[in-house]
Amino acid sequence: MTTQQIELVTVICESVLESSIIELARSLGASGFTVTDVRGEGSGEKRAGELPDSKIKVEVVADSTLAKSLMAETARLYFPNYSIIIYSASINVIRQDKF
Amino acid sequence: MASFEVLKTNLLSPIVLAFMLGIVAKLIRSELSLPKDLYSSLTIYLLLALGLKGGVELSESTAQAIAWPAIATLALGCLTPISAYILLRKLGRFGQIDAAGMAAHYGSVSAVTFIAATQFATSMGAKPEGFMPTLLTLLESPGIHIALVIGALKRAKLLASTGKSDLKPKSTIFHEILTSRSMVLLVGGLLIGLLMGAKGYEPIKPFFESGFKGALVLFLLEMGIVAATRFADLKKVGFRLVGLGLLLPLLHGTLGVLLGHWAGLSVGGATVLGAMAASASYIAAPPAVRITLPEANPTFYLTASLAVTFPFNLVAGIPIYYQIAVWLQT
Repeated sequence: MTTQQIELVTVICESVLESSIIELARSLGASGFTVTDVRGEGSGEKRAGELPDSKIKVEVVADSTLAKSLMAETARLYFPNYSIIIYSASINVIRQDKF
Repeated sequence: MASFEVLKTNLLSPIVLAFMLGIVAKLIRSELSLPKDLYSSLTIYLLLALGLKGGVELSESTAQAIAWPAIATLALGCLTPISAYILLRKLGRFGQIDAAGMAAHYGSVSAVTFIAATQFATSMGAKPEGFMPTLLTLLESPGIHIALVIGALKRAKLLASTGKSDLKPKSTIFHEILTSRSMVLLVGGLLIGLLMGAKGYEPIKPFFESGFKGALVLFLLEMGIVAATRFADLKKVGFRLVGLGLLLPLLHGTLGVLLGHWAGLSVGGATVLGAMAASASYIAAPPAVRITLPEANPTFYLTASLAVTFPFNLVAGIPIYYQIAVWLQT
């Protein structure tokens, strides 16, 4: 079995941003995404604008160009006013052409 | 009945007691909380039941009976966000965007406060008109829209001066409010109720009516927990916001009862319209405001609507609006 290296971008944010983040990823060329409900607290916590207070994790598998642009755009649009973090990691996948 | 007795009846009602139990549970740091899915299911059940019953009763109402109350409700929907905005700016000295964010909450309506007021008025022997849930849907959206437009205009100016771009087109926000869960369930329920009539309602009535009050008790238990979670923020927001969180419902509630009375509503109907005007939304408004006015501080609007106005209306506000309605009638 051969694997190829690719990026996994993870966004953890207030759940109100779910559709905005997905739309952004789609518009930049992401072929898919995974959303999970998560719990936790960060530094400089701003209260999420939803009840019950909820957060989500959006994961997007992307090549390095898409990963960089997704991170930069998310930071530009949402960092100033929302509880949000974003990070990427190198992962190994089978069937790279799927992404 | 003396005012004190009215208040006592309300305080000892199961929904108020359940709400208090929720607060106590949070304060003693109990691990109790309703599972998120149960909370969502209860919301769906309560809103759909409200819509269905309202629709059936609407099918038995005449257009004449509902015309003036509907006009009064729309007037309230337009007035309350503006009065809230002005008072929050002048008395509260909040920034334009924070004030607009909070005004969206006070302009909109809390369905649970509506249900609590209906239950209270009925228990006092003043059953509200059957078309009240229809008025609830009329009040849900104009208030949020007007306040969000005020906020969006102020924000556009602010952004133009800093050269930033907007996050989301306004049409998307309007679509989201109109197609939100509560609107679909309420309006959909009303339409189903209207179409099926009393005969069609008969077979599903046991499920939607006999469980209704019990479900409300469970829901209020969770509301108590959620409200108490915000109590810690009361210190952060300061006494001005707490004061306004009490003043706005009293003002809007009195206005609602007055307009309801002039529009020809009964004591029960005027009480419920007062409670509707006095209430602050915490289901539809918060996400809409969070997306449209991201600079508005959520701690302000969530604390005001959940930790101040909702408990106030539930415990003291509703009996006060009832008392005003009784005075006006006599």
